[in-house]
Amino acid sequence: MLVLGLGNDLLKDDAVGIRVAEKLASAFPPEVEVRSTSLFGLSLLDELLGREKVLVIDSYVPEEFVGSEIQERNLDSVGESCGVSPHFVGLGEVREVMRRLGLGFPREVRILAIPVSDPTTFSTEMTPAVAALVDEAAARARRIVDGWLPVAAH
Amino acid sequence: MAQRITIDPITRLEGHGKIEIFLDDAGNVSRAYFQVPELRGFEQFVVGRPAEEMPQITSRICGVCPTAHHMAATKALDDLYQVDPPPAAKKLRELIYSIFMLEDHALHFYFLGGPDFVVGPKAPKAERNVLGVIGKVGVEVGKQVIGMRKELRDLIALLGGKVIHPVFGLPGGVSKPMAPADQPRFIEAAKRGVDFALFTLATFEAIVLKNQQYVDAITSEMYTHRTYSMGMVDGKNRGNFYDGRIRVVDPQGKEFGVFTAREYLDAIAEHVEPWSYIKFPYLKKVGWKGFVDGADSGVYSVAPLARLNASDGMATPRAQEAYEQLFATLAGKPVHHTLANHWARVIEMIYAAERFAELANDPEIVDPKVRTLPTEIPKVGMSVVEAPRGTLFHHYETDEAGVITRANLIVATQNNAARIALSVDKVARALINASTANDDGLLNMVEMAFRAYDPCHGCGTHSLPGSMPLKVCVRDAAGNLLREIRR
Repeated sequence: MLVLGLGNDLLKDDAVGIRVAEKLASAFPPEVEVRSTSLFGLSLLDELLGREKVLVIDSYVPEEFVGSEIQERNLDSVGESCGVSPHFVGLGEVREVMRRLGLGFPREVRILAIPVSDPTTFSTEMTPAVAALVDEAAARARRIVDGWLPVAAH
Repeated sequence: MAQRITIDPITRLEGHGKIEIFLDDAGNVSRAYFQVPELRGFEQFVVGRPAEEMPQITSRICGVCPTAHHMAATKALDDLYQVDPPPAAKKLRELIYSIFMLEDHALHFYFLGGPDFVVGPKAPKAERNVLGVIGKVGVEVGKQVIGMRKELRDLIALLGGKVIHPVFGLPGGVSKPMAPADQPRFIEAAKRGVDFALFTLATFEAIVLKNQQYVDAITSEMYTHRTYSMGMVDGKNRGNFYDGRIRVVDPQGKEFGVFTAREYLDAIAEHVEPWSYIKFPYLKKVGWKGFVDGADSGVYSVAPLARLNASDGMATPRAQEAYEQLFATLAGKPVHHTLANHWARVIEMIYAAERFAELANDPEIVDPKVRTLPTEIPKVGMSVVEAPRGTLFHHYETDEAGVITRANLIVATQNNAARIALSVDKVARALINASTANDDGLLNMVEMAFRAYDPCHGCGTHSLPGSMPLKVCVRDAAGNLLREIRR
């Protein structure tokens, strides 16, 4: 099993997925690996290879940040094929590539999407309101992964 | 009433490209704009940080080409500390860089250019994607592309640590030598890399060059701009990705000038437009004359085709053969057909693979002396490398303790920005009008005008939905939205 934090820790709020993954670094038994990466697009394929269950922690930019909440999404709601660049293909497209090539896409992929305000300014400090969501996101991630583990492993 | 067409993103307002097409009262295109987002505050972010951090920081700007930024930053530190790395260190850097170029170009050819040419510019939208390419070239080739890419990235990680967080380049050298026991693995991978690059050329010939419709598209006037070309060359004016001087040739192919990284500010100036965040570099000695081509306009081109135009040949044999074939087929040098970038990219794949093989087999590559310790007081460091998407400049100034006081980067897509704007506008004018604004295939052909450059402007951010959205808007002269396409 894999918990994968996505983001860029140099770009203000885009770091949030990585910060949540850091929070979860020692939260699970050894069968759950917690990683983070700044790569995206087809590079995610390398992370998904050989995994049975994956929880992706990423950000989203809502139309209005105020009032937006952490969302749990499934793959059908994100990553539609855009055909513009291999650097920016979505998870849905990666899934189709892996399936088409017989590379064994994970049996289950869940997504925890955290609302962000500014993911494009160079800074290592997140917006306070986004930083305040890290604990809640980590708790929700823990609940999802705990549900995948045998009861004795909790 | 005049009209407007836009291409823009779905959920996020940053990290995307947008094409706005304005129609005039007669229903014809009056002007088309390609807009890209800007990542804010890089210069302020790095001021006050130790210069030694730049290879790590700049490689994390962008999840697309971290190795190019890492190498440019490392070379800028060599210059900053006035230190010359030992031969083995230079060879190891170029080895890593060749592997990176091979991997990145392969990804682009199969999965970005692929939907346009392998699948076809007018194929149904649902097929114009990575999956359509796999359907066309076959599952086995798809597996080969993914497998080769993974092998190459694993080799980069073996020497340099994580691709996105490399711990490889240092001022005056690299962090560790190649273990002699690892050399055979690089040699074997390089052989497979050369075979793969040659196979890719054969695929390009079979699918694209033997299809007259595609050849006609490549050579059509709407995808042609007679601009200056820029690229790095070695002492014999042969193309090089890692080190050398920057050569510029004029639209007729005659040498216009040659400069070093230290002289880049004498050669290039930047023009600002109110409708775009991006600054448009141009040749200072020619001047800014607007978004027009020709010898009187300072607009220039970078990236694979420009590099071939700016060089007198390739430094490896099979790449040289392919280089000669391209210019013989497209009626001499220079070639100004934007879509020929796809072909040039394949030729550069061959060069990258052959150079990878040369370096992997070089006995000196395992020499343990890979560092010259810097002793000079730092002041100014400038460097240049050829990134997959074109020429990349890094420039740092520091205090005596090596703390950054000023930084300036001109990235590849920025160098190409004026020509990309020119391309989008020209193709839109040729294809779009009030009656064709709903033709998805034609709008895709407008997008092809910039995809050929392999532009990168999502640098680093990748919030959900995880894909780089693109929006095309068509508007009338009053600004009313007539058609909007989101991808």
